[in-house]
Amino acid sequence: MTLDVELVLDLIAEDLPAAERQAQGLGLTLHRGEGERALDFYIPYAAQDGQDYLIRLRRDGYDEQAPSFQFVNPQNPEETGPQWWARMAGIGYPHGDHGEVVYCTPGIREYHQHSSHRSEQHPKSTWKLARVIWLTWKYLYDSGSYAGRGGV
Amino acid sequence: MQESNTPSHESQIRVTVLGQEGDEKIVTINPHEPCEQLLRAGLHALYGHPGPNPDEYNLVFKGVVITPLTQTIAAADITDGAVVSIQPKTISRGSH
Repeated sequence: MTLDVELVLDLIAEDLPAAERQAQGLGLTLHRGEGERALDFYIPYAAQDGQDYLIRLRRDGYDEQAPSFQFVNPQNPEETGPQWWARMAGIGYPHGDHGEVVYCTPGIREYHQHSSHRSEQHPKSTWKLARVIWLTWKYLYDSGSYAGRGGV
Repeated sequence: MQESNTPSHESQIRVTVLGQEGDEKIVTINPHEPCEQLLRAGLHALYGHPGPNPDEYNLVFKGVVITPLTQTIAAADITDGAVVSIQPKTISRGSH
């Protein structure tokens, strides 16, 4: 899927103030990747065992497609994989066609791309960044107890 | 941003409430009211009358769900100018 990058950036700029408010209200820190044209946003998470995590919300193709939600290597955000995920006791961890871990809820790109859900129709508001920020908070703080790194 | 119609009063505080999509409204409320009243007022401000069922929503302040909702707004450390988030308790999850 190819979208005009300028259009994507405009749509992101339109959504960003609400997303930043949402992050503040939920006690999360939202960072944008380097530069005003960055399409990646990051939310750090420090677990109670001292482990540091980093969630990457990738918004290429916005708003025709939902943001991607992946835990990444905090030292190298291009590196993804199950070993970078914070495991939560109340979450199931299906994998996508390319082995990617899926946070399985509407609004997350990997959910919509999963073979079980491709035929579903959802309004674009399902993946507005502010809502995805809430889904992120829900994952981190309202999905059962923290169960350690990886193994997802 | 629209403000709720609750009349302003010296003893009242202004609290910004955020909805699921980051939409925001300001609620003016007495800090000696219970938090459940802030939840109700926030839902009304965000979604109008009749608002959604408060039992299906959490009131989140500084990243923490306020519980119990029977405690006063002041007891929950919500002061004038605070930002609280009102979010559904549940999300749909896929099954595989």
